[in-house]
Amino acid sequence: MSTVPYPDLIPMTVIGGWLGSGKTTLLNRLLTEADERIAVVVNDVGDINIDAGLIDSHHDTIIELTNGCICCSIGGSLAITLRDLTVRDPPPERIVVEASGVARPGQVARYGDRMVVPIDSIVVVADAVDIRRRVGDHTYGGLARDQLADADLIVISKTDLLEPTAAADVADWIRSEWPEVPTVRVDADSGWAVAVLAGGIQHRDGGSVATSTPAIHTATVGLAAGLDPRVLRTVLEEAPPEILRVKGFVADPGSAGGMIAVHLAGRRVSFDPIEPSGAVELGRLVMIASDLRAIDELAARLRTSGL
Amino acid sequence: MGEITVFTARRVITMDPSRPDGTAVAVSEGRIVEVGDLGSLQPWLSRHPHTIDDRFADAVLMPGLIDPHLHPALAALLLACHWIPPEPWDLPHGRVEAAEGKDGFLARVRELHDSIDDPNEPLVSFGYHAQYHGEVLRPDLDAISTTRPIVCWQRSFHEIRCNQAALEWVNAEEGAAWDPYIELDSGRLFETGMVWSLQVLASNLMGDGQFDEGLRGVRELVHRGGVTTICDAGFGLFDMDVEWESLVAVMGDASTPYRTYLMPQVPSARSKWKDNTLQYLEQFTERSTDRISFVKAAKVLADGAFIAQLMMLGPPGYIDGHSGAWLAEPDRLLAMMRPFWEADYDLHIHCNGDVGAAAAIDAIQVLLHEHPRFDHRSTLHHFGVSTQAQIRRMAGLGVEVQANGYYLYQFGERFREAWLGDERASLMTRLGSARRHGVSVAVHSDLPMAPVRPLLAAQAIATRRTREGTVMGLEEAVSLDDALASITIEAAYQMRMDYEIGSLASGKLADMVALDADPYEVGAEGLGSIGILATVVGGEVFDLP
Ligand SMILES: [Zn+2]
Repeated sequence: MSTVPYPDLIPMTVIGGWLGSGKTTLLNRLLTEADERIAVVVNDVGDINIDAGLIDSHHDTIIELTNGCICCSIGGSLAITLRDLTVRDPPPERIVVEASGVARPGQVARYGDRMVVPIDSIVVVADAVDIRRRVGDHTYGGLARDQLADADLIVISKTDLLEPTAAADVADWIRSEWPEVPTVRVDADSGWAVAVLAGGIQHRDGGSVATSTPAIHTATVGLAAGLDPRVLRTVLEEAPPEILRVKGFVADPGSAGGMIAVHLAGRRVSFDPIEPSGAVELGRLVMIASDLRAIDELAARLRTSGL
Repeated sequence: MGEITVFTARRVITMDPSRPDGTAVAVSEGRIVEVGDLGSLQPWLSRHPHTIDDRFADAVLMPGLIDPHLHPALAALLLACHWIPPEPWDLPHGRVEAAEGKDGFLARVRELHDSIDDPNEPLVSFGYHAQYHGEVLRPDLDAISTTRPIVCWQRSFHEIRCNQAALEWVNAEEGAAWDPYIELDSGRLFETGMVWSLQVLASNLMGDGQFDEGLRGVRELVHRGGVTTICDAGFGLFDMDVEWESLVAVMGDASTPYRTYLMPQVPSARSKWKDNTLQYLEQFTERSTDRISFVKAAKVLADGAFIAQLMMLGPPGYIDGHSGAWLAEPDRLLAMMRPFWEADYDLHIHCNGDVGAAAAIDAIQVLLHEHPRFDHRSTLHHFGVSTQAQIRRMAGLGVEVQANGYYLYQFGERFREAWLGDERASLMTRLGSARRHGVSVAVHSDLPMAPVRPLLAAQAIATRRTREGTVMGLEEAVSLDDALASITIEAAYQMRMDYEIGSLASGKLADMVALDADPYEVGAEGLGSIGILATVVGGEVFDLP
């Protein structure tokens, strides 16, 4: 598992796939699921319609980048953009780079100081309607194939536009062509997005490691009433590595009616006071893990701590 | 009608096939009254006050030459460098000879180094080319100086080679951690790696009024080329406001011996204005001066540079197996073009390889289906490698060619040996086929990629003879007429300015060039040696400096 080795590092996720394959949908999905400050670096043409509401609510940043050749970009490059992002105050907690439609995402992942922005994963979108034609194309087929070969996770998009059996056929075909890469369907539950954000996708770093489709387990755990948030924080900080994400709300003992949002994402634990709201259910944590036993273990630790 | 001036000449070549020549041209209020001889002009001259100006009596007048694609800002930046090119260049301050081989190149660097007193002052040279000068790497440059930053900017503009002091100067060590195209051992910074260094380089080369000084140099080069109209086919590459201000200061008023048209570079404009680019551009491009205005055209870029061997080639690719690069891959190119197409802008697409050309032609085909337009004058620029099939598609779709007239002349033989092999090198800039299919053919310099010498470019495309003297792909030569048209009326046509310039006829602007020989007498082989005596812009004579 390629979890974030040090809390100061800013994990970088690269999203690849042909233009029109559904990278925007995927980006929006990631932003919806994210609890962290994300900086998104996209290409220059305004076909990326990132939901502005998502950006505002997370104080995220969107940087547009022209292609990296001096013929049309005197002013910037991906390297400069990444470096500048990491020295912002506060720095983003994750950087998502959208590779251009015919870039090799593996090539894009060569940018960035690995001591500062480790590669977390490369996610490549494959358009279910179009991917077989793309791969067979006289001119661009080789590139489309290379893009998928670079992936740590292939997200199959637009399956809803096909008959169920046709969609299943395409998914089977992708799995048989790239057996070493886990695949998910974008219309499946958003566990895959959670897994991407939580460092739950294994980055192969050029080599191919046989892995299976990431198993994502979700459970909701009720907390004992009166659990001291400081104790909760300690337990979460020592959570088993298979725990990808924890999210929930607890009462703030320091202020009457106060509420605290609790997050564990990657290896980071945060406790943020929030505006009190009747819609929030206190004392429950949603846990997401790559191994069900980790959830059981964490739930057990919380129970014992609460006593 | 104001007073008429009649310029008499040994011959007036009009480039208008309906009335190809004469011996006198009558001019009034900046426009041509008509071309003929002193006899045929009598209906005008008998009724209006006039003077006969016979200063060109022994010269040949033809329409002022047009360079429809160059980059004043880029050229100004490079003119601030010390030039050590693989081919001789006439620069504003004098002629620079070619540096031959690695020893020749390094000797020139050493000479420059010795000529600069301050041991820490950076030395930025331009013109290094591995194909001509061998591999010049960090140790070679460290041997010249360990204190003075020495930068060798590559001829193709895509790479620099540095000594250790220069690596420190451009902060390359930090850069190498972030950018895979920075190599500290060899001292190479290329592609995006080169972009890392640009801020330091540009402030060194553009500060202190050097940028305007460089533009004044460009102004002189344009004038010397016999050119009366240029098009900046990448306006806004650095910054629209900065460029506009300097262009207006240096070439904006009526003392400028040529007209300047600006064609915005869409990717640069997009990085400034995002999705509102078209709207902002429409406002920005309303401005004009006596000599500068905008064409309603947009420049986009498909694949990488020819000289940098980054054009996208279909099979069998480059001899050494490396691959080219997209500047905007096909789908993105189309998306970038669409709003401009729909707003009736002419689209000018930089493409160099056959796959780049395919992307451009495909995009136009799609746009024609989506939103039909007549007389759209879409033009492919540079046009290094193409196929016969593409020429026929272009003819069918109404797509024109604006080639770099110097590719074959300057790089034909090197590209045959190193990158393309004989067939594709010989057939680069496939203009003969384009003319046979009725496609409009113009040529440009793309300064600073090649010199502003339209007559030399016309010679090159009519003879297919390289600088070394070999004839390559004679079947793709164009006729002498077509060669002259490519630097006059066809260039004007592609800029949608052919109603004003590019030929001499009643009512058109009185823009001319005076030559010391008749192109039709010296023939294709002699075009590049014809001397430029003066230019005329709006009826006003500008003698060569
Ligand atoms: Zn250009």
